[in-house]
Amino acid sequence: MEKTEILGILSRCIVDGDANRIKIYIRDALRMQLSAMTILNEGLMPGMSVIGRQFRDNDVYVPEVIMAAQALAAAVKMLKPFLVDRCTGNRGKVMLATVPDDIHDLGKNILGIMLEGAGFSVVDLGVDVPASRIVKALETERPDILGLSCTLTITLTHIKEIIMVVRQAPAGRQVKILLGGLSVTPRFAKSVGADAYGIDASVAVQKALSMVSGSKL
Amino acid sequence: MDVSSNTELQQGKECEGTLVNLLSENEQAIVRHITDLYSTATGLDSEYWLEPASTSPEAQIMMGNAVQTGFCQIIRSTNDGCRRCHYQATKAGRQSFDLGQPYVYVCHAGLIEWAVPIVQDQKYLGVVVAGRLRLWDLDTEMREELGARTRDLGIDADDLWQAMENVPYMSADRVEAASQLLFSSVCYHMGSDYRLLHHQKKLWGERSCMAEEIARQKMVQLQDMSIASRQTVPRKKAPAGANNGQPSVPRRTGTQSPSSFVLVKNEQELIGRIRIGDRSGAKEILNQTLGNIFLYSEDELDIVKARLFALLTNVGRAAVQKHTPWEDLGRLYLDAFQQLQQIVDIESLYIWTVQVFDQLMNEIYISRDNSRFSIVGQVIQYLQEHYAKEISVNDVARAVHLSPFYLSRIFKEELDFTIVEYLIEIRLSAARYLLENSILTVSQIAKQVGCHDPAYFSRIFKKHIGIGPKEYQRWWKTSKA
Ligand code: B12
Repeated sequence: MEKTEILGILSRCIVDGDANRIKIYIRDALRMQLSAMTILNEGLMPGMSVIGRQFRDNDVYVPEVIMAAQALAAAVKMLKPFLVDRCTGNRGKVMLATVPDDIHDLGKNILGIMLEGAGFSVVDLGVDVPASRIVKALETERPDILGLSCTLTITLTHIKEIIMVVRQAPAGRQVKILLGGLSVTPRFAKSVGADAYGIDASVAVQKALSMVSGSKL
Repeated sequence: MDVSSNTELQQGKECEGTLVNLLSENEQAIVRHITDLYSTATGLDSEYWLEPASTSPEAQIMMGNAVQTGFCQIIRSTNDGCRRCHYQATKAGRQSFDLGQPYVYVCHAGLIEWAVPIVQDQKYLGVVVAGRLRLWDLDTEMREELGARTRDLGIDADDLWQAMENVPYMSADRVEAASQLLFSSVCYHMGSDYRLLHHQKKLWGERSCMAEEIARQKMVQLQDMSIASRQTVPRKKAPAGANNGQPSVPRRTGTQSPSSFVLVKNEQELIGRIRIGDRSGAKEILNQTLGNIFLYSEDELDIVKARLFALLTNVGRAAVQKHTPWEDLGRLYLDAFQQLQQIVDIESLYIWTVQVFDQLMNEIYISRDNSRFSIVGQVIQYLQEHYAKEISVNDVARAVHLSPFYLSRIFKEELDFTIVEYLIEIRLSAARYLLENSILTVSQIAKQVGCHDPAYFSRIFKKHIGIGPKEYQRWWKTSKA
């Protein structure tokens, strides 16, 4: 099988929300020596974009999107060992959370896996996390970086609030804030005073690394 | 789903007297009746949760109907499980109120449910929840996930898994249909505020477009980045749908701000499209322009606001030409300008722009009819007048205020050949006339019909006519003699 062919099939499995078939083809793709990043970025993500557009055009509805998300989660679970750089040593601690009223977490979870792979320890607070819980966790966990994920455009406003609350809390004054997720743009990240923005998980890992090494982003 | 922020539970409306919730006895009877009917017809669980009439802690949210699903009975046998169901149901109710549609979701324990709101006088009064089924096969993976979701409830995992085996499966399209059915009946019987819900639904439609445009532009940027990082590798085909069929809005790379450049460029394109009556095409351009601004522009919100307002007024003025009385639009703009003052974030600004644009389109289309063909006619006229000069598709496109890409597309759709092919036809027929009737040399003729490379001219001529221009000239002269 050709490389483009298998990537096409993987994309199709996401669109069909077929969590069973996708596992078979992930295995095939790995056997063909495709890198996990290629599988993710050129097979799975394009499938998700198709679903997004079909949803916008009312060609599919939420149940299909739920199934697509399930298929992606299954695929990522299989890819996990291959997404990891096998970096040892402790690069620092990252705390991740999806903003209040938003339950999209696939992107955040992928980022979590890749950060761990790059040698960070990761504390994941989950989805729909209120500012108060973030502040409390900052006190107990004392992470170097706080990564906030936001997918919905309406929930962007929560980021602003969270950053304000975090910066006022003693435990949050020093923490570096990293933003990402579909609705976050560089412009937005800058306007709310975040320390960095990551367009995707790979870029985000680079930013996290330079944050802890103190070099310029 | 986070359950620690339980404040939403106490968000009932303050009310005097002994009211427990905000529905009358009669209305409550109706809700109960609908949920009973629905359960009987579908064989699925359905229940309702009403908002308390007072914010006092004693005023617990009212719940109706008993839970039938064994799985849920086990979950609710624990305090935490009960609290989570409760929290999630009300949160889902508010979400569906906000969406103006049924909200289909995966519950905290992993089952598929849907929520529809009870709305009166623009207020959210409660929620009807139904479903409790699975979209997937039962496999080890699902068992693991169930374990992860319910581990902290202290329930026996085997019991729960056994109950899960009795949870019915339903296909995605049936879930969608069942949720719509519940939504319609609850809205109808509870006299829900249809206009408000419809408005919300439309709003989310705009949000979808906005988010997808951001997604598309991010994808383009990521592709550019990956190409830059492995420059030696030849550019491969873009992943499915990355940019397919999209008109030619200037592709952005790097981090420079697009600001006025993109706006001016797209303004011309918008005007062109509106003139030929391509409303969806115009909207596509608008969405791209907005996505672009929101993603890359580093300007202050106020500056973006001013630019967008100017864009809309310019487009309106140019697009209406003589058709729409300017005063009608004046009023529209005045209202829009007042709304604009209230806007403090990008999302609202996006939606404002799209809505004003829609109104603008309505005004314009009320007062005229359009035909793509008139554009094609203009193009043909332009080509006939200018073929002797060196012209490109870009020149033609500029003359009719459309992007080259888009113009080429409609030209091809209408006439079934491309602009360049058409231009070649015009040039060759002019060339044949000169070859037949003048004493000019082939290279002089080539020049006269706009081809500055005689070799290229000869090649094209031969390809189309079958013999080269010199031979043609000779042949014509001998045949005449
Ligand atoms: C899958 C999906 C869902 C799933 C989510 C499942 C899950 N567990 O996450 C479900 C079905 C639950 C869902 C629900 C809804 N969704 Co949805 N969903 C999507 C979809 C199709 C894909 C999102 C996704 O997972 N992509 C794959 C991941 C891997 O990509 P990613 O999140 O962008 O992450 C990458 C980067 O952004 C970055 N990143 C992510 N997080 C972070 C964090 C940091 C710190 C950093 C640095 C980087 C970073 O790295 C990642 C990997 O490179 C999008 C469409 C789209 N085009 O994106 C719609 C979409 C986001 N959803 C949308 C909507 C409307 C909804 C619903 C309201 C639908 C409804 N009627 O119920 C609900 C909202 C629920 C809620 N309150 O949150 C809209 C949003 C519109 C808007 N303007 O906000 C979209 C755009 C669809 C559309 N076309 O309308 N959705």
